[in-house]
Amino acid sequence: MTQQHPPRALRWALRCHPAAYRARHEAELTAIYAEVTRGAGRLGRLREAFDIAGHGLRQRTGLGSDRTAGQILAQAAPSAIAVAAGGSVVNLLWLFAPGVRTLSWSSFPEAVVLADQVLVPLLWLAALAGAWTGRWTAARTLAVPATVLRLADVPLLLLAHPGGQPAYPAAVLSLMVPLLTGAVVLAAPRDLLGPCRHRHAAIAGAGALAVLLWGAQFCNLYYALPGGPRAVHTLWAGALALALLLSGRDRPAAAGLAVALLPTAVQMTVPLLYPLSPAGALALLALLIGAAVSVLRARRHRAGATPPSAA
Amino acid sequence: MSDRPLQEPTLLLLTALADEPRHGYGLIQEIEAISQGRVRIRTGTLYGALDRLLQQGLIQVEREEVVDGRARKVYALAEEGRRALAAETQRLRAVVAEAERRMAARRVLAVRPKGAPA
Repeated sequence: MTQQHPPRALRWALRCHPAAYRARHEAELTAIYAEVTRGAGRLGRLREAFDIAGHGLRQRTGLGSDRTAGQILAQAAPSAIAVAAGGSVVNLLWLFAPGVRTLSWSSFPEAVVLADQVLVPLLWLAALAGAWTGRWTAARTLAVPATVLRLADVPLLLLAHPGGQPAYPAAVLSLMVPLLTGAVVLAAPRDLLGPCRHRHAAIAGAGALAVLLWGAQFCNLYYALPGGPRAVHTLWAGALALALLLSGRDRPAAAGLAVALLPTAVQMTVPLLYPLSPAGALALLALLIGAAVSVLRARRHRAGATPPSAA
Repeated sequence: MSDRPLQEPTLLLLTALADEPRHGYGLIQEIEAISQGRVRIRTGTLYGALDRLLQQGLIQVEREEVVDGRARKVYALAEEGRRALAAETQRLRAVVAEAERRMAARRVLAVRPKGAPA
């Protein structure tokens, strides 16, 4: 390989970088790619090119590890996996709960839906184990099929119930949650992810919160909770508002939790709007205040321009 | 400077630069050697970390050179990076010393006969 003719995969990967960055680093990246992939197979070369492309896309979107957004994503990724794992495990209860179950293994399309629903929590739990132990390559690889299978929920349900009319807003929200969760996990800069003991508390906390809130919604089926399902929706909004209020540059874990909770919290908050109850209005107000405080705090820090953390 | 421990990739990168300046591929090889083959950092990940450490002032570009017709940068530890690495080393040394002390105490308890005075 020569400098004039880099392989196609590398050329595509380099194109992901902003032009100015590419002009400064293309020769260097090409040289390192050549050294690193010497003797490597096709898969090894593709992995290396994929990693360079990821770096380029993060540079382009301002999500590099040298940017605050990238640092927050790195905090959010473990919590996002924990929330997804917690949610998908509780989701199984819905599918197999006596008196609730509507899908049968005997019908082929429904069996596909059920298999999908069983596989997703297993994948997220395996990803969670990877994140917990710092095996981030495995965790992120597992997050891809988990996200794709979750995205397949809506089409599979339509397949199982061909005559059913899909509720489009709910379907869009159902697609948005796995899409955003997967994006958070995959977009987090790899060099800020690793075995780090202080993240265990964040993972455990986020997972417990998800299980608690989804569990409360499930319990509402059998034991009517005060306020019904809207109370649980309000709790999701409240949890996000609290995380936003606590988040700041010196408290990146709270900012990470807010990002991790955001997809599900949005999904849960939308039903509070129709019709808008006093509790829903209060939750929305708390969310708006939390978001405003978070933005103002970020602006104040930018104005102060304190040096970033070394971690 | 944060009091939080350094992430492993950061610690390995700073350690790899502690004795002498290195270029990108040299860093990848050195990190693999330091971690005894456990950590194999990829090119994009390395450049993400280098961008961050440069921005934080922990490392600096010492020089640019051309080898075999290709330009490459040589990175060196900055004074701030040396301080961060020294602080992290001190923290790790304290943890190791405490772990060794506790393991030694457990060994003493294990060999002491039942009923012997403490």
